[in-house]
Amino acid sequence: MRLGMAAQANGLPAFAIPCYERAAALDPDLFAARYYLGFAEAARGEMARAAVALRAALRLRAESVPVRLKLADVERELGGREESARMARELIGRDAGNATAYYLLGRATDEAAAFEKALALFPRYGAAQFALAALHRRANRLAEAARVLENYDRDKTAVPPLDDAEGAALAEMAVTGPGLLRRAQRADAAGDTAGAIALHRQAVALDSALADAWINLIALEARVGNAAGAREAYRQAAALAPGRAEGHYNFGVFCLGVRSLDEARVAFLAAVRADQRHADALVNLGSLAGERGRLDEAARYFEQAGESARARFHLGQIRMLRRDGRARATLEEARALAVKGRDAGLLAAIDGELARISR
Amino acid sequence: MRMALGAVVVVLAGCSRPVEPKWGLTDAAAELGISFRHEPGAEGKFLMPEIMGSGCGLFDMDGDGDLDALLLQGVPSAPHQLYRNDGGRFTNVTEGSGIRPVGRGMGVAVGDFDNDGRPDLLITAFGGSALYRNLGGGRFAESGQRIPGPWPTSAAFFDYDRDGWQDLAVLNYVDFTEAGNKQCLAATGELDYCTPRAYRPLPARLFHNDRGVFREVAGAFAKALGPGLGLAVMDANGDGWPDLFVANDSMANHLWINQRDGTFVEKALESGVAYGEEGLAKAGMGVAPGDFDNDGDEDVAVLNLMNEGATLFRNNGGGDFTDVSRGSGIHTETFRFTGFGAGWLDADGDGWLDLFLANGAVTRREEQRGEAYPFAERNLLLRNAAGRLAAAGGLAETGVSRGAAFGDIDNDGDVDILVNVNRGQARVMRNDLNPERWLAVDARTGSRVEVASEGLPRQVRVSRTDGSYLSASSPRVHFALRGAVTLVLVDGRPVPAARGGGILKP
Repeated sequence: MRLGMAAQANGLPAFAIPCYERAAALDPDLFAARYYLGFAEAARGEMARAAVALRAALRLRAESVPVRLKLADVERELGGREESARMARELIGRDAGNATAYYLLGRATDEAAAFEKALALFPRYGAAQFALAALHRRANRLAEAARVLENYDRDKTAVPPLDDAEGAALAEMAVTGPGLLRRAQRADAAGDTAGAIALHRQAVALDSALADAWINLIALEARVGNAAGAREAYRQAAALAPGRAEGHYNFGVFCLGVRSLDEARVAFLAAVRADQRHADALVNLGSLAGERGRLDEAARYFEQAGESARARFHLGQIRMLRRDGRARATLEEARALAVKGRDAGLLAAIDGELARISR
Repeated sequence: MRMALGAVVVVLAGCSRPVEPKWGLTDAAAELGISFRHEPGAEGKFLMPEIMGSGCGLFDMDGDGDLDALLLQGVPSAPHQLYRNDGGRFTNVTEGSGIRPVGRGMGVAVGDFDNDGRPDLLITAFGGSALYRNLGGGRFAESGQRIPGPWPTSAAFFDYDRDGWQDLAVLNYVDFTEAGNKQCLAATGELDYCTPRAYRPLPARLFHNDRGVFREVAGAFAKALGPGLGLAVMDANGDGWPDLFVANDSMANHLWINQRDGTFVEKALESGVAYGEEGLAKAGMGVAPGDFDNDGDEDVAVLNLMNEGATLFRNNGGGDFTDVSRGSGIHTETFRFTGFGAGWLDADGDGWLDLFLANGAVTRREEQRGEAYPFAERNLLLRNAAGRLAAAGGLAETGVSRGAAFGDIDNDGDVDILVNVNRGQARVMRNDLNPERWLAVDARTGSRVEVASEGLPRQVRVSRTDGSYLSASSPRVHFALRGAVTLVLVDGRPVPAARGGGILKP
């Protein structure tokens, strides 16, 4: 099993298949062997064989959602769109929050509503964004297609979380750029910044064009005070993905940290060019303008930031300064947003300002 | 080749007896006098340029009416080889031709950049490109103009601003250097060729032709990087201006839409050609535009890596495309192959464009373990039955095929194929269709030629030398005939043509 997994995780499904077949022969009740066999057959384009293996896996573990999802996908590849749709609906019947099942239903039926539901459940679902945009384009709804794809460059590899122990074990063995990136992100989430940096570095050594890794590295290197590393990561990210707001934003935050305010402003402006609704970048631009005494400019950025508690807070402060009658209402809007976002620190600050108004 | 404007020369071809076409592609390189063997210079270091080349070209260098051949070498020490075609028989005329080895040969582009009526050459190479002026009589001279680029691959001459002078687009691959060669391992732990992702992608470059002198248009394509390999000039949005389709290796394809003001804007994502239907990048290599569904506009096939399948984008008109790889059959037929050279040709004379794919792996194929060069694959011809593609038999020989150039080498009315095989003998895939009726049109490069004839669907072809992979093809467009020609339109204008077919020079 381990040999097969190592081969499959590193792009050799044909090599992995005999390993799984041997494992299944030795232990006919071994679910993982059937699971991996199904996925490996699908990876080499043998969809009929994949379907056989996945059905065998389901006989051993009928409740396996990852296997049911994969089988629905394989059925569609085999031309069985109705069967694929039936399986997707069955999964939705069991769990109405299964975004992947809605996506597969959309693929089987070409129904925009299914993709929209998938995106409502998981807004960063890249494949669903792409498929929905394709449907819009087909119907000549070009503006809708463009809107759906606004963040596709960022989201294209994002998939909804799935409780899939076998899949996770396989991903763990992948010595590939994306595989290392996933491990790096887990290390960061676990608080291991040094480990996360090392894994990100390994990922970009294998895959220099992995923009996500460079974008993460800006923040990670900044966190450990490696200014040269952060700058180099930004240079790479900006060259590879100039349209990705997060890279510019991360660099802007780094520049704020080292008080390079002009550079920070340029980076936040680039972030806003990439994503006009990037609230954090707009808030920071407003704050920078405010620091320079340009209150009109600051207010414009805060207004542009929309439903951001911090933006409403700062806008409320400016309105207080100007004795604008809308100040209280603005701060109350900020308060509601802070409560919703459970931002206790900000909430305290807003309450402080509201108290000042009351006095 | 420069065409005389207004003159119409029609040569009747054969008699009019309708017959069921017999067809087939046969490797006739040795018989026709081409004995070229490509040497990648692979010495165990697994340097990426070794496995990526090389290309080839078919063009009428001496204006004698038949297609001559240029095959590029992979090592700087071995000269590229030029063959003169005399009635379908080739003679090696490299010596004295003026073409000299520069770096590791990559691509060939053909275009008349000095407007003297003779097709000139750009040879791209890892280590430097060389622009040659065609002096006539099979002799070339380096122009002395520098076409810079760290690792240039495919290139195309095209007049993007319609000033009457052929401009030049050159793709670049990645920032690999021999000194900075990374040691990449196969999953088995053995040294192997790196994927392009080990290096940083580079932007394509645009050179404006200022009355025969190229000047780089700085940053023309800088807004989207890509390890560019396949390049085709096509009017993607039907506005009459040439756009560029770029197949990038492991990154999104690019579609540079001509803004008609000397600039281009990248629109692949909006147009539906950046990715296949799964929305993820594949390893784009060869690119082949052609009207596979006979609906009057050019669709695009992009060849990818093994276990990805080639992608076929159907043109819906107005710059909008849909991935029809699965429905057309191309995905399944190509899934086991790594495709490079590619081109549409009506191999069986049924009025529907078939697709030839020159295949060969870039990383070790496990089933060839123990072999000296474990990258061999067989080429494919996908026959087109009213829009449904299925592999035809007969191409059993394997090799590491790269560039493929298309043209009627023996002037018998069908399209033959020259294939450069990495670390192997070049192939000339002679088309044995030998149609009794056919029509060929020598139109200005970029022209859209539409032909209606009895017994076959209306056919549209675009004259081009670019496309495929690192290679330059003949600009002549070919049409199968089963009955009389009823209409020929060149760029929408009717052109008188003999009902029996022949070669038309509008």
